[in-house]
Amino acid sequence: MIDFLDSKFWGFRFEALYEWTMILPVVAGLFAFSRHTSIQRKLFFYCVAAIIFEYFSQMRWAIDQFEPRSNAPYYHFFTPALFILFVFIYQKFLRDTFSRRVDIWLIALFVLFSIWNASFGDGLFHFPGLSLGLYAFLMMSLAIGYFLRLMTTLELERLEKEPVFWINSGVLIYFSGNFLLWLTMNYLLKDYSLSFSIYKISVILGFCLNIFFTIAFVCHPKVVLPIPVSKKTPHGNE
Amino acid sequence: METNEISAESVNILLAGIVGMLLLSVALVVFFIVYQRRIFEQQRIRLAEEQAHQKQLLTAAVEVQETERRRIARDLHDDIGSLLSATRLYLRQLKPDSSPEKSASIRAESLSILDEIIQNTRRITHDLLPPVLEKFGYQAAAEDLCERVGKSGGMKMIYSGGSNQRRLEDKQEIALYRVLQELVNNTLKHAKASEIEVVNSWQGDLFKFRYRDDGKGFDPLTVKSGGLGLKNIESRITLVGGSLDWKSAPGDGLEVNISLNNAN
Repeated sequence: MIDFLDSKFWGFRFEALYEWTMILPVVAGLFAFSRHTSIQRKLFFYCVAAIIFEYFSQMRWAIDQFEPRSNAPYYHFFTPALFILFVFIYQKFLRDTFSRRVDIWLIALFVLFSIWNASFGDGLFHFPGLSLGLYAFLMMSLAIGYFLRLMTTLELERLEKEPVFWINSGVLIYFSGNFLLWLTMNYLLKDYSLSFSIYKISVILGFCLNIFFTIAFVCHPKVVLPIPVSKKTPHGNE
Repeated sequence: METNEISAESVNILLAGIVGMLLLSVALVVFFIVYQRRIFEQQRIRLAEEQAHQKQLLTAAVEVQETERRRIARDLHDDIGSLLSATRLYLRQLKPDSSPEKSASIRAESLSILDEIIQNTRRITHDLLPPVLEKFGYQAAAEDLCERVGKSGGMKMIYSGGSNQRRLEDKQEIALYRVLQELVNNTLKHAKASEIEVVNSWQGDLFKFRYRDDGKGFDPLTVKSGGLGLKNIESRITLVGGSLDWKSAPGDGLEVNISLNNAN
């Protein structure tokens, strides 16, 4: 499996494939933006933020800001930021299912945990494995919870036409694949080349997530139009 | 130097864990899709069944109305119409030059037929809406009906109405009375029963009606949807917001239970 991860996909490095496909959901999101649902718009902002964070954390200039040179501090900041954006996507589900302030509590607790992790846990200059592990766990729980809610309320019928289904499926698959990887990343980093190889799993999953998000932007749920009121005209009903 | 710290076994376990979780999540998504589709399919079937049932009830309601109209037309034609024709024939014989004896005989015959017409009209209107039902309500009318059937002989009638004089809504009383009439009629015609039991009771705001006969019963599976009679009954009860269930088996008579929620 490691050999496969080190191989190239149609001549591309997996990382390049992931980085380039990050643009896909943003382009798809821009297209017909006015027709998007509130969840699709929130997802668009998440995708834009994810691109900015991803490219910024890879910039040489950004890495050189710290001594020792590292982009780990950015990840300590980006993880709660992206989590907050995801909570906004699931905000309605959380408020409808639990209570009005559960999203605020969730964000507050996660930010506090991230600060603790950067200060006393993994450390600011190490990969934020614990924060990302908790992030993945919470996202998996949200996705499963949302699926359960859809199953009990039956509010959606044609799933393939619903953006929320694609978002949820992408989130569940991406975070369940990354959960153990992120938790053990600091351990794997003892062997840099091995960890680099294994981390490509995350990159492949990220590629899949981008595809799911792109589909979520392309499909639009059926809009129920109001019944037109017939008007009387000299020639009959309009 | 540190490379040796990560064993191949631990890497394999990690990879297996990651693949396992991935497979689990994909399985969850697939399960959700399949489960959701199945539920919607079941809902569609249930909806179709419900629509078919509603259609049957509507057909039964129309059938009840038509039967009722046919009966009234028959009663008017056979009982009133023929008697009026007979009266007309008698009265046509009255002529200015008729003898007083003949005139007196025609008058007497005509009056006799007119009395019969009045009696028949009273019977027909009584059948349509018994005065006791209108004046004293369903329970009194049901008791009266049971008493009349019991007195006619050949059938033991057990009626239990309780002491609560609370009344149902007018339309509920009429519907329930018609149901009772239909049930008694069916039992007398087809059931070969020796005993009928009618129990009316109140449970809070819920009016409970139970009808039972010890007749030959029938197999619900062979009689489609309980036959038109029971469909009519269901239609009547549904229209006044009540619920009905019934059971029957060959040799085991018929039992019908009706619940009506009273808004009065």
